[in-house]
Amino acid sequence: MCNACVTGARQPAQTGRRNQSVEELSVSTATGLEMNLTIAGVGGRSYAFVIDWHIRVLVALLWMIVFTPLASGGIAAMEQRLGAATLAGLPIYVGVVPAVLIYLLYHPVLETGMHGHTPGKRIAGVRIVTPEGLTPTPGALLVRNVFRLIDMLPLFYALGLIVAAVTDRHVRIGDMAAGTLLIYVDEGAAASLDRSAVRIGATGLDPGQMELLDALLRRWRQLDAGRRMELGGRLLETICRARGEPVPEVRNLRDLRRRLRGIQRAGSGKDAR
Amino acid sequence: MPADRGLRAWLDSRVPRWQAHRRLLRRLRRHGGHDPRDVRRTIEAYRSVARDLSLARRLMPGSEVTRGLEDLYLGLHDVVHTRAFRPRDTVARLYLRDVPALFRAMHRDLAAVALLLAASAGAGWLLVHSFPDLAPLFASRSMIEDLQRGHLWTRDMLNVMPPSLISLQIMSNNMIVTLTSFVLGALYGLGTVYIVGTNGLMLGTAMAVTARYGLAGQLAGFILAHGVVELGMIILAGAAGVRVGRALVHPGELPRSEAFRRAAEDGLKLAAVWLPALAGSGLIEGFVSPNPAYPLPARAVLGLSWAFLVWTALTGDLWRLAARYTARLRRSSP
Repeated sequence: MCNACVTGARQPAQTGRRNQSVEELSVSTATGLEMNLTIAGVGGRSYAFVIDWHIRVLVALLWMIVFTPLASGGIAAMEQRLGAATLAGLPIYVGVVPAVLIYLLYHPVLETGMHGHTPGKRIAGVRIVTPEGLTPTPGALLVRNVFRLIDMLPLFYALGLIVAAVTDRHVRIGDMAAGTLLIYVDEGAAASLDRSAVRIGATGLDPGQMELLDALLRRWRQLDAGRRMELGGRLLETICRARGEPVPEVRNLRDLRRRLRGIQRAGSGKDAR
Repeated sequence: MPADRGLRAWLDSRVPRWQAHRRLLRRLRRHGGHDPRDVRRTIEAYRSVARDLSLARRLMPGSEVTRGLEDLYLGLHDVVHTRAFRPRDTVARLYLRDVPALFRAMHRDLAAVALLLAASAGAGWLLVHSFPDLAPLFASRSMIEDLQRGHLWTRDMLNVMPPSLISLQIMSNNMIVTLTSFVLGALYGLGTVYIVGTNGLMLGTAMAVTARYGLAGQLAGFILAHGVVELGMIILAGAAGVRVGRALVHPGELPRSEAFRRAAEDGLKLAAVWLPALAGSGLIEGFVSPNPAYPLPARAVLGLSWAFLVWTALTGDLWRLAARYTARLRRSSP
């Protein structure tokens, strides 16, 4: 069991996902490192749920539409052969019961199999974790889902939404019962490690310069012409000197941007035009 | 710039390792790690990434590399600290140890909920018995007309639907009622009291209405085979709900949130018995109870046997007996 010390704190996010004050779960790990996980609010939670709801309803309906007539047709043929109406319930068992099971078991099965994710949660960039930042046990995920019965009261998850809106960690009653919460996941982080390593190797820039270059080009349009020329020119000069190359003559803003983009794209394998 | 060159050299040397750690993490997440070498590798990776992350946070705060390392570290932290899930052991522990211990520990809650069910049933009986005009509040007009003609509504059940569908409908309804009764315990136990109370009231009024037309014996005969377990499971789910409510009102030495979490977990463990028991009762109610071919003694034997089986499953004796019998069979086989 994790001996992590866990504290919930209201502090500015460090991940760069949001600039405004957001709530974070601070997890102290066994190696002494502290990790800050951004807690998902009602918005992220609802977004994930709506996507999941559509998926499960569509899959369940599709099952019913395909298999109920198939079962009915099969029964008609068998009844003609057998001469007796003995299989009256079969369309329900083949068409309706599996569809209901798909609808009801969608969350517990996928959350267990996908380590706290569902397709909707993945799209919304959220994940279920314990207060220690770990994947919840299948039992906890089952408790969380059984308590949907109370969260959905009286209509459209009103109680769950109200409770999630007013609680510190934005949890619904099911989460309280299971000891879980929803956090934002930095979905691009895994790829960013490889990407930045490749780019640093290809461009010869150090990580700080790479970050600066990315930030400048991202905010290019927000800066006025003078600032663009000043910051861009200085950065180009620093990069060229660091790489041991002569500093090129920059004709205008467009030329400056083209050159900076060329350096940035050298590591991504894209055309440097 | 020697510092930048040093950083680049460090990254060049570390990136292949991080990629290897990422591959290991992906493999462990997909297939689990049963090989002791994997365990050693994971622990080493966890420590190594922790060191690298600490350095990256100082040298490149907020950079892509740091973000990627944080993600890798969190993944390894999860793999290292999450307890392995072994379904077989979990199920064995649940039925052999957890459920019997819980069942023994909750006899007061069980008694209280049984009393509540009996009291509300008695109140329902008294109400309809004293004020017969109130009967239409609890039973539909067609049901009362059937009773007036000397027909119990259960008699035509098999003409309307095949037994399998009746079973399915009954068992799903009972499962939802019991789960709702348990879950509504989160309203400080009041939701559970409401569900148990209304169920008792319905039972009492149904008995009173049928008794009024001299059909109470037939209704008791109908209930006999499945009702003992069904009512027992309503009481069990109610007791689990009451425990959830009590955890919120009197959490004892635990924080309220922790007491609530434990009571909810315990309730779900008990559901591992009451849900299959209700499935069995549903089958009996669909196939046996409405079928006049089964005489009263047969229904009584079936009902009591089923209740005994469920009782021994709750106390754990059933599994101990089964284990003893299996061991004896193994010893006697050549």
